[in-house]
Amino acid sequence: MTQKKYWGLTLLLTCVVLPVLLNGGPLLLNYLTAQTSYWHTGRGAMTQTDFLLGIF
Amino acid sequence: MILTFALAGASVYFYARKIVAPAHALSRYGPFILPVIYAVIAWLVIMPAQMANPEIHFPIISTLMAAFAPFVLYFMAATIFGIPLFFPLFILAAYAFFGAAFALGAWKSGRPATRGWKSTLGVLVIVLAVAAIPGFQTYTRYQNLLVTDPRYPEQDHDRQEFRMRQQYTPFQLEARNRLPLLRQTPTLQFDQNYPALDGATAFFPIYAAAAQAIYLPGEDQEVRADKVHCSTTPYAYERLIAGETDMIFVLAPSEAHQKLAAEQGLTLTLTPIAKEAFVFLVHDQNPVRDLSLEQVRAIYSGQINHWRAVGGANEKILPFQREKNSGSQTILQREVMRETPLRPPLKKEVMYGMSGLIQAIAQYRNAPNALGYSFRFYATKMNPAPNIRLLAINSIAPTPENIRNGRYPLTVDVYMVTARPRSQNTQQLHDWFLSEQGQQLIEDVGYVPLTPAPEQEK
Repeated sequence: MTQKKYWGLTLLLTCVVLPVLLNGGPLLLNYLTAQTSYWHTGRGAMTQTDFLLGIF
Repeated sequence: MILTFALAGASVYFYARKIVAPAHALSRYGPFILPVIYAVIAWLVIMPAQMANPEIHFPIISTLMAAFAPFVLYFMAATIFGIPLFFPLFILAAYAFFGAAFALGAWKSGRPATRGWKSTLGVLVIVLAVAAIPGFQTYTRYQNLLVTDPRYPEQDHDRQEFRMRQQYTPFQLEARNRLPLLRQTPTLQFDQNYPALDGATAFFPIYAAAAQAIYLPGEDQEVRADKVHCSTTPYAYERLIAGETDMIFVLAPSEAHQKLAAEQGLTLTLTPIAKEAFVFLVHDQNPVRDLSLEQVRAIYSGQINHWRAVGGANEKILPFQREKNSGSQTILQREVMRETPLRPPLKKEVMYGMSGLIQAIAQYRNAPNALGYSFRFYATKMNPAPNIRLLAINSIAPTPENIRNGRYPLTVDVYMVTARPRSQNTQQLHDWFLSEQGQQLIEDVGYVPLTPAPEQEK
């Protein structure tokens, strides 16, 4: 692998993939757990506000 | 968040195992060091801009949020916890973690970097040395600042104020407020020309109960309700001096208020109507039950900083203060500190407008190492917080008995204050508060009257 290709790929990893993963992970996880609990309690779909509040 | 960090670390680890990375350490770890250099430069540019002044009126939060947009979620969390300016440290820690995960992956796959460690180390030392500059600036800024601790939240004053107003607002008998009724037929009543009353939050129940008993509903109910305000000590004095209210129920004025009255050519007339205790509060887990006045003075002047110096745990004291000119702050300065200067108050960082940061005096948080002050009735009846204990001062507890006989050293007088010649109704109300019925009502509300009520005389 050329040095240029290594830098391109690794910078893509450190500056794009990792931040997306770190932000997206809690968002997705929260969405899934909150949505699941909503379904279980029969409250229907989750509102956007509930979702955003749930992250923290 | 921990799970996603583990997942991200694992991704880096497997990436390192799969890829053939350059053998030179600086080339290999450059992509991990570069984001850190960016974070340190951003920190370095932003921090000095507000070092001179703790009040940051430019939109620092949105600037930082834009600078660290890829980590917006974590930045928001840091802002909620009150430490947004420390956020670049998170970037440093995150990329140190990823670099370590990459190094582990490369090592496991048998392809460790063989050269260039010295130059990599050199770059890291330079980056860290540069980061120390804004790091130190940020540390200095947060020296007197309290960060949010979810275990010991600041008391929600807006909610307390709302609840207090619900419970002590007069003329709402249907809502069953907590104001007591008179025991006998009122000896004074008005159905018009109601004197306008105002005062400190801690004494609102006194004049609210009196107004409820004495102010009969006239032609316009709203006029009657509008005559009883509770705009807190500093504003009550300002309203009295401005002629917006007839009589206020407060502690003795601060020097600033005396000066303000003198500038208007007014003389404040103070008539004591009740006694109250200025009390010091701690968490009930705090083993300290008693402080001497000298110890309190030493704590609030900054000479004593640890609870162990006054017989408590080996913890730093968190001495909370109140806003300047508030009733309790005035008493602290006048009765406790006297000539001794106060230490700088504990502050908190709050948002200014949409995105600036300013510092405000932190309100009491009941942490096990906290020390605060208030008034006995307010702290125990009006706004009782769980797990709070009142301290004895010079071994004398602030009980009604010790307040009545004046043994408690920080017993203060509650005053009716007027600034202009009293109208006939205001004079009658003034005299009524000093009458047997007025003093009985004050006792029934829960305060200590000036004179023993008839029941106590028996």
